[in-house]
Amino acid sequence: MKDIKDKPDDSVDDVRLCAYLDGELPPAEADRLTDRLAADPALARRLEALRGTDETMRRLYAAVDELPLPQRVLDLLQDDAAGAAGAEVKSNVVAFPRRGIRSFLQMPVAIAASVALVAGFLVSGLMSRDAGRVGDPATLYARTIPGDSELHRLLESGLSSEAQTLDGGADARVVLTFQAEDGDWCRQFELAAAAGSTQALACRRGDNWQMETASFTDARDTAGPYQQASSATTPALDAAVEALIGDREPLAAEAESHLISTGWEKPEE
Amino acid sequence: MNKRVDRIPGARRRELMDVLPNIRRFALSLTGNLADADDLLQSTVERLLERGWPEGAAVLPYSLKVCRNLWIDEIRSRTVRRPAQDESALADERLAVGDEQAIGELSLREAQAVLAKLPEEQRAVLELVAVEGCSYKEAAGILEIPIGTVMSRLARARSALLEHMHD
Repeated sequence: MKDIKDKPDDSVDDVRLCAYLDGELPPAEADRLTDRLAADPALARRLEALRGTDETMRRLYAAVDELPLPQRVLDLLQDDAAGAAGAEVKSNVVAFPRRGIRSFLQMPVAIAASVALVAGFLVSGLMSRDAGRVGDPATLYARTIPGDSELHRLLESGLSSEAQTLDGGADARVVLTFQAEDGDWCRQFELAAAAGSTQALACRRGDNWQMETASFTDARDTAGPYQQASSATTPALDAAVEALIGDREPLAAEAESHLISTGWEKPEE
Repeated sequence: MNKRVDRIPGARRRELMDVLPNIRRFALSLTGNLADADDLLQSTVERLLERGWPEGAAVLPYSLKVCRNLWIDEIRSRTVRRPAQDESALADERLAVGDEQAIGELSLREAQAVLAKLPEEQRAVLELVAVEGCSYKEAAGILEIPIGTVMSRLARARSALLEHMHD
């Protein structure tokens, strides 16, 4: 390791970071580590670097999957199946039902959703060598989005459907704005980069925006380029929006614009 | 070698069909080269067809365990196909993917070379957790090692990959 900053802690912490990203830490410990990650950008970068190795592994083994399985192994099962069926189909090998490697992958589940799922985006952020702003892991590991971050500015002043390109190169736009049943303003937004897109939901608590939930869509899991994948929100995110919005409607463009210009005042109920 | 065992019903054979890619990937993580991996895959399938697997047991973890045991107990010792000089076995040209797209600062080709440098037991843990999506407990069961060992090997594997990536 050339740069000591890349490795902020000893290997014991790598074990813990790995357990964290694999969803294997007890919830209380994971929460503590989440807080620490939010406060320690170097540690968060280390986590993302470790996560990146997994992506490399998956692609490497996916390349292996592209190679045909040995015929002698297929024959073993084919012969056997034919024997059971009482038929000879030896010369007519049924195409092997290939499954994409990704169907076997599981996201870490024990990590808070708002952390684990947003993290997918971060990988792409870091891959594009975006060391700061929205790509900075600390920004998104924090439940509270830092007031000096680009993401904060997007949420504070971005109009729905007005796409912005962030410093890191990712495209960002607010998808919709609504008032939650508890009176807080919430915004669904989207970050898109080559590796995929993140759909997320944040609500304004006091003067800060807090991440509610987020989900990452890998670009390779969607047919078209990521811009088109943006219309496909995930069930988890839809459910989160639904739970907060209740029977209210999202704001129309004019109302949203007014709300932004008047500093996110809450109407008297 | 092709023993026909009719007591394995067709539906179960198809289950086995479905996990062939998984067994093969895992076998590759053990052997480090595709030729031996495919031999190990074949032996694993033969063993499963001969002896079956327990009713109610998920075929995937069971198959991987059989694969690992065959490798440790019977095959590794007599495998001389790829001697030590071929350190880049995982970078075997049959695996050359022609995809030089950088992942971070690491191309796939470099990744193959780096992976080949890792000890077999680290490759196996990494494959199970990162590629197959096993829990630590599942990986520990397949490899017959304590969970603590899974954790330390995994951390060492990822850390070593990173280190080589930045060499």
